[in-house]
Amino acid sequence: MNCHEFEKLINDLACDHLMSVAKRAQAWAHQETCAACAARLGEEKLLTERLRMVANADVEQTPAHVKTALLAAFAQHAASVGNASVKTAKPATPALNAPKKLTPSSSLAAQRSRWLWAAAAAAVILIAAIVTWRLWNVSGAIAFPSNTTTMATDSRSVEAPSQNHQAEVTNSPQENPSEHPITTTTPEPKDTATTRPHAVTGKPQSGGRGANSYQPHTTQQTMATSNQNEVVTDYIPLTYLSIATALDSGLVVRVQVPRSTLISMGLPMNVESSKELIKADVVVGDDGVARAIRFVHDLSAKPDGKLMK
Amino acid sequence: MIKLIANQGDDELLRLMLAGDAESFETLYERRQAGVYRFALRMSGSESIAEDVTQDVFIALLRDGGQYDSSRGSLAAYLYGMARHRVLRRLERDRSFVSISDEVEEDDPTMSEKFINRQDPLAELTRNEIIDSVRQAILALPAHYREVVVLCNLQELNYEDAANIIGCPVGTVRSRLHRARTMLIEKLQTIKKAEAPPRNLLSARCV
Repeated sequence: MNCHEFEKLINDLACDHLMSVAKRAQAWAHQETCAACAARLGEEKLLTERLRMVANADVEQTPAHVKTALLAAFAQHAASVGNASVKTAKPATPALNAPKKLTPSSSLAAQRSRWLWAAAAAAVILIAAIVTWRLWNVSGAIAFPSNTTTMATDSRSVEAPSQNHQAEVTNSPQENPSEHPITTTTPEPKDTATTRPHAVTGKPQSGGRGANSYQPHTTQQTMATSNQNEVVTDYIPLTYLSIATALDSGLVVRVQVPRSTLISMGLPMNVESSKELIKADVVVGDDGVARAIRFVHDLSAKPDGKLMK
Repeated sequence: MIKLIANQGDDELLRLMLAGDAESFETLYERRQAGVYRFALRMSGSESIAEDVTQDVFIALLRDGGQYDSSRGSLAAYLYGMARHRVLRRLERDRSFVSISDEVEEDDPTMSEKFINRQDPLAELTRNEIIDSVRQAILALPAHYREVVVLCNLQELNYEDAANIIGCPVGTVRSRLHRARTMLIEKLQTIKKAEAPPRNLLSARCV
């Protein structure tokens, strides 16, 4: 076992996690011969001891008033649910101790509600299809490279400072409900000629003007050329949501992040260039929380075409 | 009846709770509130945020508990996941504000009572200083490193559960934890150096 392999096991060794006997024996043998690794293990063990001290000292409980408030909220909730489900039933129905059973009237109401939702969803899909079709017809004359299907998701009016990784979204999905961030049918230009994130203004106007008034951004051709030179990773979820849910709605923001971000995402990185900035696309949900990230490598930035390290 | 409920698993308690059983809700709350509260407290460093988050989590469970899918993980992981989401959102929102509550707490005479030990005051003081410095070092970590330390080292969850809560692969949890612990060691060493008294004593020699 060498120092690198020992380093990989050091957390498990310091925390006394389960591991194979052979590996443990090899690790112990290594640290007996390597003073640096022995010292490192000592530091890790000390940290583990201190963290356990903190964990044991954590005796805080939620204050009693929170419990009181929650119990009151539960009673209120149970009462409201009970009222809704037993509107036409006998008042003495024990709604609290039995699973909710819908009465015929509430079942009808639920069925009606379901139909209403289905109709609304169908209407939205129809409108989206019409708008998409019109946009496609108008923008059909503009030649986009084939790989803009992935980059088209990035075209949103956003402005993102790069150093603190904050992205200030200046349009909201409500303004353009027909636009889906992952759609591949409405390719829109985006200026990637500059290295910093910036406001993208070349997008269809919302409201009455529609797609007919769409004027391509002056840097559109530059973007189309640069997209051909970009290599992107898959989206990596940043939240508890699955990747499919994370990409369900929201905006894609092009930002620059330190190369060290690759490590935090579990990707390999060249340590020597950890302070360099790299491009990334961040999916920001409707609630403003970043949902997923993918890294972009601009092949045109480096003539030798090196991939991200 | 109470004893029977207390022996139920989380999933069963949730089912009963959603059916309107107040005792099940209370039992579930008693069982899980401390973990959620401490996770939020260690992540945010603020008791008020931890209280709000704990309350929000259980209100959400009350309202949307039906969405919980036991095949995707334990209820505890589901609760931690909700707490994590709320803490991060709250931290993001409050980032531009400076809290003065912590400063007030320092002057609170009841707080100093915690540091008094009748047996060995010096050892207890040292211990409390260590705990305090470790907590400060954890709070100084970036959020995505902090959460793995809190989940894996303070809440003592395994890597799989932590990965489930955070929503990332187990390998990512391991690498983040490794990096977080290295950063913690560096931070604690920096604190130790900063707190060490300056060595003003010069060597002397008899003539």
